[in-house]
Amino acid sequence: MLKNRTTTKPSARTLNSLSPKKGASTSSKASRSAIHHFLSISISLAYYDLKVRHTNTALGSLWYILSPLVTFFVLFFAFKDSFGSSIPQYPLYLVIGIVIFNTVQELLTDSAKKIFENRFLLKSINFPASTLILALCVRVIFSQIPILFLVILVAVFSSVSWLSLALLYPLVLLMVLLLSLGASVVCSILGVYIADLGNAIAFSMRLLWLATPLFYNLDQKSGFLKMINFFNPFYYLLHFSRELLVFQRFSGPQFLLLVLLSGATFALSIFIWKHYYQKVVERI
Amino acid sequence: MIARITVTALKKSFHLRGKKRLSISTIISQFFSSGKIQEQLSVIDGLSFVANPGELIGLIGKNGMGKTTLLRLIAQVYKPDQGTIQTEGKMVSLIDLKLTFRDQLTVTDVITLLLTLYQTQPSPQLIHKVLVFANLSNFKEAYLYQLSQGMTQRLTLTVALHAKADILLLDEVLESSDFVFRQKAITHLKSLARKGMTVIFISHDRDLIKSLCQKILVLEEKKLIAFVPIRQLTTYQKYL
Repeated sequence: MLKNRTTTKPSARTLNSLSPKKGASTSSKASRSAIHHFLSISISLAYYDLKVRHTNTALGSLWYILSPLVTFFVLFFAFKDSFGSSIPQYPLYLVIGIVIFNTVQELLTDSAKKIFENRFLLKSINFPASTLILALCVRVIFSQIPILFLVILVAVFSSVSWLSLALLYPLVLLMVLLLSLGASVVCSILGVYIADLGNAIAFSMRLLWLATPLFYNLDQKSGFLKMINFFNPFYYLLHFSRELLVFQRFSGPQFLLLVLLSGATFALSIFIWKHYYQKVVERI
Repeated sequence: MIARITVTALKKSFHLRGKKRLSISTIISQFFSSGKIQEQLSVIDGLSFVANPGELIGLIGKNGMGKTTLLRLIAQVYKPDQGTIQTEGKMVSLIDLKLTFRDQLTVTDVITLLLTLYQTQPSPQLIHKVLVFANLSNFKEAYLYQLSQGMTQRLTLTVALHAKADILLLDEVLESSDFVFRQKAITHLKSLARKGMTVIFISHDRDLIKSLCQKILVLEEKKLIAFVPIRQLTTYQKYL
């Protein structure tokens, strides 16, 4: 149990130790306790979010596979002879594009309503609100287990080493989460101010679904689409993921670019969170 | 004796404009409009008081006088505009809690989740204790949406009572409870206060305040007009 002395001022919230003589050890103990509290809340929220989602459902976690599976079959049979004929390992190329896109879409759309949905909890109990976003990421990690099973199945069908794919998939998932985390934090704040942000994200994602080379290769397309994708972070994420999972090739410059991009969005999101969170709580 | 809560010259106001969520079109039109001056609503103005360990304090005032805002400020949900709030020890708050979209969780799940949020280890023994106290042992696997309002209130209050707090902030938590549970909760709150817990309790129920509290804080028009022993309740009962 964290026992503390807390002072709240308009500009700062400080945590002062009760026993100054044992300052360093007490402070590190308090930090460990705070981290433990932060993680346990995030995991609990993620677990109960999953539970609420699957309560009284007939198919439960199978829903995570069903949507990408149906999309995969439709796109595969529609484009295997046109776009697919010139793309090596087209089924795996396609399924990786679909699952990564769906994961990012889920993170962004769900984060847009996260704070507003939890407004009564946030205004009743003082707990770190950022755990709601982390819980969303934890939930997405859990939901990747059945999805990984689907990807492995397609890899086996495509005669690609399923073991190396399974071992490399966590790195891809980490990149997806890093890149989406900052954007999710920003969406969660904006979602309180803009009622139809969910619709705006859904609409933008639909456009991106067509503009990003999910079921086609960018080499097959015009210069205009190439120019759009030059500014599209999804394109780099997909390219890096496919290179790694389909061809087992590690693209260093793209990895670096994605890390830098993730770092920049995350830094921006921390700034926005620190600046706007208190205003947001008073607004909801 | 170290005070549990020290509030000094506290001020809080809210922006009136933009309380509700706006659509994209409204935001764009407001951006280009000239009416950008935000109206300020002062809710608390220059409030100071000290609460010591073991005190049971009733917070009274008419609707809209800033009682819930004061509790949220003490709970650090809101930040003050001016002034300071010092608290000593672990704080647990239950302020207008609605578990709306989590009503598909079972009673046991809700206890576990709330205890985790309150930084209390949700051990099986503690969960059992909560279920017995709330008289919900037969409903431990029931979904929250299957409970009545009174039962839900009983559940959330019992979790807060068992969260091992030094400071407990409660906002109208016994209004829907039956007589038996109300008496049980009052007895328990008094026993916790004897062990040093400080309780600030919002209610409009005169009998409840009288039977539970030792002191009353009276809010009127943004100001604290009295912080007096409970025997003076009759003088201030028009503010209930």
